[in-house]
Amino acid sequence: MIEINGLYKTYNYKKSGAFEALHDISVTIEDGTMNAIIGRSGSGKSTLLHILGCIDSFEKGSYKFNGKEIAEYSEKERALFRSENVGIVLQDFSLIETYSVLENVLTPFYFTNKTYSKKEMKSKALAVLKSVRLDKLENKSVNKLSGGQKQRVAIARAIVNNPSVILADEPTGALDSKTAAEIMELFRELNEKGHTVIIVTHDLEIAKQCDRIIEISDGRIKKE
Amino acid sequence: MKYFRFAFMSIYDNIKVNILMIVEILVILLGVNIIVGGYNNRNMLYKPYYDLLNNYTGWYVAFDTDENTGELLTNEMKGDLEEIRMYEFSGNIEFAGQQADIKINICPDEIMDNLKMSVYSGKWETSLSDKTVCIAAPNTFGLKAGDKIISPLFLNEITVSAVLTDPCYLPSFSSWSTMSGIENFYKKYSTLYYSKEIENSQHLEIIMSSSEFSETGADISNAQSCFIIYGNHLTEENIEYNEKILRDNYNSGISFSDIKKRAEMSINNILKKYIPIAVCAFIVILIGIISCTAINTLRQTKNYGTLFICGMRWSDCIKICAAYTTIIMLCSVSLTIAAVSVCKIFNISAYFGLAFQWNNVIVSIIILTVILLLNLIIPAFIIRNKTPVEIIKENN
Repeated sequence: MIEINGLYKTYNYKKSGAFEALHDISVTIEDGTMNAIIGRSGSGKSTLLHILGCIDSFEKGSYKFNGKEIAEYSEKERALFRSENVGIVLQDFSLIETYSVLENVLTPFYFTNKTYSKKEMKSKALAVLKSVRLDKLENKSVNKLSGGQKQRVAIARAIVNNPSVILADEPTGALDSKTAAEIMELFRELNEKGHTVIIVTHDLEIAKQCDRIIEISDGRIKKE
Repeated sequence: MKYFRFAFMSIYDNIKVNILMIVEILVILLGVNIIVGGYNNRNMLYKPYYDLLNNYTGWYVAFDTDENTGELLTNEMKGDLEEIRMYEFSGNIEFAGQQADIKINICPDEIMDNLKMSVYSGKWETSLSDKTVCIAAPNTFGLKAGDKIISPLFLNEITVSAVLTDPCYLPSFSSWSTMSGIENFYKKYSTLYYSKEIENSQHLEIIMSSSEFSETGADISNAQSCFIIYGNHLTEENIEYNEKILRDNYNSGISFSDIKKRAEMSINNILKKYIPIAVCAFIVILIGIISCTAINTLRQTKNYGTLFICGMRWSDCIKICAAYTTIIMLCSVSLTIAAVSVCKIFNISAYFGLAFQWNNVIVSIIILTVILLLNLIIPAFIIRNKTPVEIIKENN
């Protein structure tokens, strides 16, 4: 369970040009739910997702993940958190273009504390690729894939370590509507398998496919 | 090891710039090793005479200095005098079932003990307790390391411990006949040696220490050049008086201080001449390497952002950079070792007067350390000025 209480985030904190991106955010996200965070550009929705994924930090407030305070985590613990507890999917896919599909999916294994043999790693990666319907493409270079296929690789990479939470920042932003629908279907399937899904989007149609919509405006939660 | 995996990703991603970097480091390493190799070779030739020329005053006579003439002269000269003389033996010998004419250059022990030349085969052994040994010059007669030289004039056989590389320098001092005149005779530091190439080997030539040769019981054929060492407490007037006698009798003489000056000039010239060029080239190439590293790091920041969301610590980017630089340097070092090996195998180093020794390794390590540090500072600076959030935002 994710519990956020009185969270503040200011860019250029205590410097000139400081900008408050999040103001007194308090929200609880139950396990196994599918959530959408919506808002206009610059509203702070991506910042909130980055904080949830331990990509970014915050100055004030509390962020508890399964009861543990994330603010107290060291850099090493935060890195491990990104590797094992959350899977992150971004709009530009964030794949390593020179790697094959399989190599990209294997990447999170190199940063986890869990020990796997090469064979185990490969079989897990192949199983995940099958679940996102990318089997038989494992040896293909990612720069030869379509946008939809790339996003599937990104999703496969996000779930390969079996994290409880999947965070997606505009996952359908770079895709056509048909492919976007397929990706959303994939998120729905992952949610049904027990993953908590949090999707940041500005597209209300995408948000409507989630169980819960959190609207952010000017760094504040406007509506739930 | 995972950092090496990601470092290979960096190299593959920007292959042309990385090949350029490997070539740049290779050029630096080869250039510096050639300079150091040249310096080593000249130093190697000076070393046997170092103690003699630095600790004593005296006169060097590079001519047939038979002992009778020498004795007459030393009787005329003032003060206590000591002579270190080079001898020669010529005769017919037998080895491996064949006969050949041989010239043995018999070197004073004081010089032979400090002599060390590049060997083509065998091991540099100039004195052994259980057998009489010699070092052979490169030859077309088939005399090789391990062969035994016998002669009715010798009480025992002489074992060839090593054969020198071709071409080589023999401490013969007998290059009088090869030089055009007295003016040129001492101009080159190499005249303390006799340069020998396999193409010009009309007879077998070996070098032995005086003590080793004495074990054969053979008589020497003639005396060659001689170092006349003045005893302590000799006044300037007496030195001048002695040198006048030597000049009058041997017009091919030179003082120790002059040989030393010329030898050191010869050694230092290589440094004076090439170090400024090498430093300039090093700076230019270093700028090239820094630019390549900066380009590479900037290109890789997106991938570092990707690794960050997969669970890498941002500070670990520098470990990937270190692994990346190590791979690049290993490629350059491997190519340098290959080039040096080719030089040694095909005797190119001997033709160009290069001797590769431990200081080559030390200088190379220093250069590689400088490159490694620079290659870490630049990416560290670039990475420190960017946060993963900025990189992720830039790409979304």
